[in-house]
Amino acid sequence: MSVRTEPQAAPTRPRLRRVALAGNPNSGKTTLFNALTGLRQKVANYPGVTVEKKEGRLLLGDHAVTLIDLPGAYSLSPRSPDEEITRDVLLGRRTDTPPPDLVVCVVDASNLERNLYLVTEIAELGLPVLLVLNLIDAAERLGVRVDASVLERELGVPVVVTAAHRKRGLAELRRAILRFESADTPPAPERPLRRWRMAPAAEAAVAELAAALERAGGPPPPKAEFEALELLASDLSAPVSPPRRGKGETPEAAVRSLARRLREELSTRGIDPATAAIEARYKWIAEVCRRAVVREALTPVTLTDRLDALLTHRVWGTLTFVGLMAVVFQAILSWATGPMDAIDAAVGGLAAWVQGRMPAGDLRDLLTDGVIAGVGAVLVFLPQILFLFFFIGLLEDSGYMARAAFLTDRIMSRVGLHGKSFIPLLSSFACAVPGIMATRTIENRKDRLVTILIAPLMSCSARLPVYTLMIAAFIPATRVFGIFTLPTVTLLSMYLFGFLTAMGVAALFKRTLLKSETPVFIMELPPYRLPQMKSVFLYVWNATREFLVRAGTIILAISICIWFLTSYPKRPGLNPSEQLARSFAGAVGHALEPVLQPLGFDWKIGIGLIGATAAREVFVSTMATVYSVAADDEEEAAQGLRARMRSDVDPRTGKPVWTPLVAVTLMVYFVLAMQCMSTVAIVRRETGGWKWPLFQIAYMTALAYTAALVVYQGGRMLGLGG
Amino acid sequence: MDWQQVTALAIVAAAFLWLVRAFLRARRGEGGCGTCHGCAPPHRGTTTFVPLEGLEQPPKKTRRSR
Repeated sequence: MSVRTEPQAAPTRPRLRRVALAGNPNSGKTTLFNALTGLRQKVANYPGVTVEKKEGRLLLGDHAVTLIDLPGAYSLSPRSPDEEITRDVLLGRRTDTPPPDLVVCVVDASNLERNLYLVTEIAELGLPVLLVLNLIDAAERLGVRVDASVLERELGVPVVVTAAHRKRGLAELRRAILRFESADTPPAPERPLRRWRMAPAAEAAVAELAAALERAGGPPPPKAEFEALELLASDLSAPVSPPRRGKGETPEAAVRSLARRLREELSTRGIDPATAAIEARYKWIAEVCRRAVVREALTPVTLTDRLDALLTHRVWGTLTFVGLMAVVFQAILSWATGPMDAIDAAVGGLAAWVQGRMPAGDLRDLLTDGVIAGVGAVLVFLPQILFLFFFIGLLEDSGYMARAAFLTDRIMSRVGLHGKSFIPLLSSFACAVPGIMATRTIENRKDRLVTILIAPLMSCSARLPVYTLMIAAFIPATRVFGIFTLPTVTLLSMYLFGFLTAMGVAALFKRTLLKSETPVFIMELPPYRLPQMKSVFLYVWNATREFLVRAGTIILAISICIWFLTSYPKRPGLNPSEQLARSFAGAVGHALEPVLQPLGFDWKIGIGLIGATAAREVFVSTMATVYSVAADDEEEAAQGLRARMRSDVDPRTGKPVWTPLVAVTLMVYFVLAMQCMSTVAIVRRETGGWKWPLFQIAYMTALAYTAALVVYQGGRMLGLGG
Repeated sequence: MDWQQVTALAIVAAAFLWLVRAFLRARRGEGGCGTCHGCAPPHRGTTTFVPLEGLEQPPKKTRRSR
């Protein structure tokens, strides 16, 4: 088979319009994307952060081009949905994205051999390629020196050296991209597209298959050869590009049967068609690296190695993980107290100011009891949310997240999942929406679905206001084990309870509904690094902005509607408590009471649970509005929500409505219940229909109700109150 | 009804209509209330979403002849 050469450079090269960034996971593509476009896409130090393609504008001299950040991929033979996006964009298989005019291949300079696999595949497609040797500083620290000129010569593509997170080499990169604009300076010498060779019989088979693909109206030569290699490597399920022309004899079936015959022939000659191309390519890459890479000394035992000896240890690693989480929750509860009190005082002051300046009436009540009490009750928790995201950001950027996934692989594999599912679950501690999107890195369809189904059981940041409201009001601040407080242990228990329940549910689904084999876990452990404060603060800022927008839109709108439902119909002559009981919301709460009473919840909590159907934190704003509307006098109205809840007494029994047991039962309910419209929407989108989100709502609600019932009734039997 | 009641009810009506609009936008995949990625449109700021093929494809419509 003849080795193909790139066609002669066209006399006038079209100006660049679309430039794609491609490379292995965690090679720094998004950092480079942000540096080139000035955008602020999320970056972190673990593989699989980017699971969708992202676009930005890159200014090149007098005009801008579209820069596409593709999800990381190890090869063009995708194993997961995010890798499929990369392959399909580069092969021009997506109708919504034309193939790029230039592919900037980003490689981790300290791990060149593995990274070059994808680069060579892309170059062989005939796409213009620019190679970026990124993370060069990390490679130098490891004693790895890469000769870019040798690499340029061997691969036949221009090479630029960068350290994107330190902004090193960006100007050179821009200049190199600009050179692709110029017609008279071709960026790469004329080069054979494929420089490695297999055994002659295998080469002949590839040539025959590529020719058959072309005859059947398949893709043009370079891509036909790529697809021939793919087909020969056995992936008979791999899609073959549709024929260019409409006519012809069922080309797909003919090509597949030819591929099958050629595979059999190669097998009889002792050549494994599944690995022949991979081995030959890696052999050639190893040869290139031998010439281009100089290792100054034996790889030293790095700080990462020493830390990993402790942090991935079965016992010490697990203890460190639990200890770290406890410290995080202790910090969230204690450090946030000052700013929370300040916001609480400001909200109370604003309500008092409005109360004092406006004459009595519905508008004043709406502002004080609905808007200020409702939105303010949620805003108070902003400092805790900030601390939570700050710590998650630190853990993500330091590289610890991948170790946490490694540590949990043992537990995950017992339930039939693998450590890769842990990354989406960890993301779900911040919010289930990005967590569910992160499941795109999971190769197995059923594992991905199981992970989607259990992700909302992780306690997200929207549950934090509910937990801390209950804990602050009803859990005494006594010391536990001398170092931690009971509130910290309670909060940690809620997070742990959600995780353990998720594991149990996953085990059940994997053995019944979504049975499949437990996959082997392979994940790259990135080197530890000092967290980049810019990335962490960006992460915190995005969370803050989202929280404030939520408070100012959906929570505000719901608070206003809740105020109306708790204040109307007006019944003159009744005191505020009676008015609330006979309002629209009161009627709904009373209707729900028979169902909620076995859980220890009264009708007011029922109103809160209805509000929380849209978003969990709305429970707090709803309770604030309910207790504000029901305040019988100004003195009571001036009390905080916690104090009002503590002093609330059931007029029928004369007993307190809220007890520590009710608070714990409510937290258990919130751990397990599906109360988030955003999550329902993303599950519908990612699973392509309503079947799974509806199933998820049903099983989570049933689970939440049953668990809350067991906790409350069990607690009563044990004499814990209620 | 005094002016405070009229204003309050107008605000309530506006908030309710905003919620209805957010719900309808979410159903149409146009971004709902705009606070998360849950039902975001294909072009939301600089992020282009690439919806993956559904894990569960909707049932194919078939026509039966008698």
